[in-house]
Amino acid sequence: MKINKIKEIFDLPLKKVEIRGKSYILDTGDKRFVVKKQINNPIIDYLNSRGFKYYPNIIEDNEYKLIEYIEEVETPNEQKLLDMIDLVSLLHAKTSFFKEIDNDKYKEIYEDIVNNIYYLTNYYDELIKVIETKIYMSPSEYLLIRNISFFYEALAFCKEQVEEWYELIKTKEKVRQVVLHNNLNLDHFLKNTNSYLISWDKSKIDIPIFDLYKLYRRCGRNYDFSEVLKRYEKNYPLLMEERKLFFILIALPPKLEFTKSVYNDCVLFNREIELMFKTAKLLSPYYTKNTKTP
Amino acid sequence: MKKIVPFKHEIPFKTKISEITSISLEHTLHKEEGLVTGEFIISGEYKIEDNSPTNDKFSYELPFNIDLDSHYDISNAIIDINDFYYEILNEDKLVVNIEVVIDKIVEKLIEVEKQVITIDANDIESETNNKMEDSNAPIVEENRNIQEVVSNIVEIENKDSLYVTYHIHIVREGDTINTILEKYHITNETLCLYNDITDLKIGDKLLIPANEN
Repeated sequence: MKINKIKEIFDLPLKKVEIRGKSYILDTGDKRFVVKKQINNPIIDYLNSRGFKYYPNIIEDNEYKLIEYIEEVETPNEQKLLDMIDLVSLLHAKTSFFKEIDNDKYKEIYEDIVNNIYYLTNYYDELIKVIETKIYMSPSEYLLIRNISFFYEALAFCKEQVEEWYELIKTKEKVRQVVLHNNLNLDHFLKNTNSYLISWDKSKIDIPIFDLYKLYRRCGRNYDFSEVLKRYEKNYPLLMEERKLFFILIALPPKLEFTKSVYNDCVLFNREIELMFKTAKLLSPYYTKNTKTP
Repeated sequence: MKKIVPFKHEIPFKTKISEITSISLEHTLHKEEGLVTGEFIISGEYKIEDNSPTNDKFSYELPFNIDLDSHYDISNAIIDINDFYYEILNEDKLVVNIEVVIDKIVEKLIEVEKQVITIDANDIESETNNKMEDSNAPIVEENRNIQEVVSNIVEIENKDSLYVTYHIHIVREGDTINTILEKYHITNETLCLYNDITDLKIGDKLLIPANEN
């Protein structure tokens, strides 16, 4: 989009323009506005009808949206993450409804996960075989082989859990659905005296754990997620089958591939392995409790 | 009249750029006697590494100057930003593209038709030296341009005469070689000596030695 076009549409005197991702922040000197390209998503109207108003006001709405600019109060990221999860749990609580279970959909999820586990097991088996024939391993290969037991443990855990989950879901008639923000990120949460979630373009209706899963992939490595999960469940306790599926999704190891750059591989592998350690730590309290009181 | 001036600048960073999280543009452009001058202030935040939780700040000031030809009147012109976008080059260079729009430029009418320039041959040498220095300026005024030509020719000519006077004739509609020759009382040969008359158009300038003798 062209700056001149935006200016013509909204007729604002501009002092400063800022580009942040897909949005433009216009500064007229005494007021600031956000302009985004209009994407048809009826969710915002739906949120309003459910009494969830924690998003910035839309001032003008045509080809481009003119949105009020939220002045943010500086808070540490750890605090921000907790505040955000409070708001997300509120969003889920307010928009939650039960839907007749679609057996095919869950069968598909189940099969996807099982196939994935099977594929990853084979993939790492083959990879290890190749690496073991080498006399000298590269640092990235060494990093992977040193930690490969975690991958197998995680795969075994997922395999066991997915069966349990599928048995559980088969007995259910209804599942919970909520409005997902679907793009949770610390940059998409603003706080002053009020809290706001921004960037609703990807939002949709589905089961609640997808928001948690995406957030975990983004922030799980840098922040303590067990606290986040506790805060979320305070407002919106997860059901047994939901939690199980969430744990399976986050425990499932990624497919690590070697590229030309050993350095980049090491950085990426290290990051993923670190996240796997964190996941194991996050999940262990839930399972140790279960074994003590079966 | 509206003119759009594109501006592209590469800013090398000391570190890697993985992602530009925000970038803003301000400007101090203003008019100053026929030229538009000022600075763009580019500032924002970026991530050095893909997954780093912190952002690093950057801020750069880029000077911007354009000279407009003297027959444009920009006293009422409005200077504004037409467009602004950026890209990352080779992970360590930020390329900013800015389009400046100068609106409401008025084109002045050319009033000069016939000029008589008298040049003192003794001054010519110093004049040409000045011109040489000036020639770095991006847009040289029309009249000076002619003078330069004149002075070059005069230099060749001044072996036998110290003072030479020239007329400049701007070709207008209805002019023919004959009418020009008649008007200035010169011969076709003299005209050819100073000018290339094979392809004359309206607005062309002819150098005519004053026939005072």
